[in-house]
Amino acid sequence: MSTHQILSREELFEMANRMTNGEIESLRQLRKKVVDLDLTQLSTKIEDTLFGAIFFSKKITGDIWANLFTDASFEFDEQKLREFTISFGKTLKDMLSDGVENKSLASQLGNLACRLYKYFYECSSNPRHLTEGGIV
Amino acid sequence: MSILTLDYRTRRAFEKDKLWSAREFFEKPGVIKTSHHGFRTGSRDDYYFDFDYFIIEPDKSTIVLDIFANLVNEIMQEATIDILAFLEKASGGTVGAIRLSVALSIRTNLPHVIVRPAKGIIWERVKGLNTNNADKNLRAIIVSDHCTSGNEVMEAASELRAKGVTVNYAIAYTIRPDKIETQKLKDENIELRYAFALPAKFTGVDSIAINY
Repeated sequence: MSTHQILSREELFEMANRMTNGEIESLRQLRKKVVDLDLTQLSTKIEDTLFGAIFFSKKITGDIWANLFTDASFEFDEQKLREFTISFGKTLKDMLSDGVENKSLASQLGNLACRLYKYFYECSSNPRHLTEGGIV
Repeated sequence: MSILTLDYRTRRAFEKDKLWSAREFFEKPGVIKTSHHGFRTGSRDDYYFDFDYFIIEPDKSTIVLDIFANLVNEIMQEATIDILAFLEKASGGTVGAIRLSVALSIRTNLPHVIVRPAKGIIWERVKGLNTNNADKNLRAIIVSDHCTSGNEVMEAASELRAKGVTVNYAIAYTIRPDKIETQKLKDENIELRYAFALPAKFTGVDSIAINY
């Protein structure tokens, strides 16, 4: 179980809003909030759209950090990261907004991710196919 | 001959010597990185410690391994330990102390498991513990290369405890005393032991404190 608090829709929306202004610091703040969230546990506690936005945030920031920050050994173009941050912020806002055109797609993606992690949760609570020694 | 058969003062002298030698390894290019690099948590700092560059060369790896083994052995003088638990980093892959898992397991004669918090299915998060281990009340030490806040260690402890493993100790090669969540670790009943304390601002190997 994660030691972090669950991220609220309002908090995530506010961060996304700041990201649309090109604040890389907000991208860092987003990473800090999602890095240790336990998606499996979270899938049973929040609604699909918010889950989808958190899932997307965790995966995208994971790729950013794995390639541009931790372990990176070159100087990357910060302007490109800023432009990406703006687009990322806009996407997150769209995912979290009610009544926007792509709401239906955002809902579908959120629902898809949430269903997958709910299944992981189900498998986790009932590993019935495990035999002694962990051999299936 | 095991180092544990030596008398305490001689053993400490050996260990102290190794720590002083190992401190020089931080000067190796690539170990301390500057500029845009940051921690996995999103925090930014003036520098970043990359453990993987430490253990590329066999002679250096041997000393690093000895230092880890000594941290384990010191704990085993005080408490019974059954397994070592290595932490797989959130980014995945074989990075950090996990690269030393087999070697340290052989050196300390302790079996080891891998903790993988990123796994979606909860019971897959500890690899190496079988279902029939649940009632054995195993006692583990968590092994990590570096602890900044200690959150990863607490996550690993939580996963192990959910499997019925007792966790009271963690070891790390380096820590950041200015960022470590000491109270949180204490609340979680985890005693963290380490070899080197990295400074808030890196100004060369002299700024690294040896925990002796």
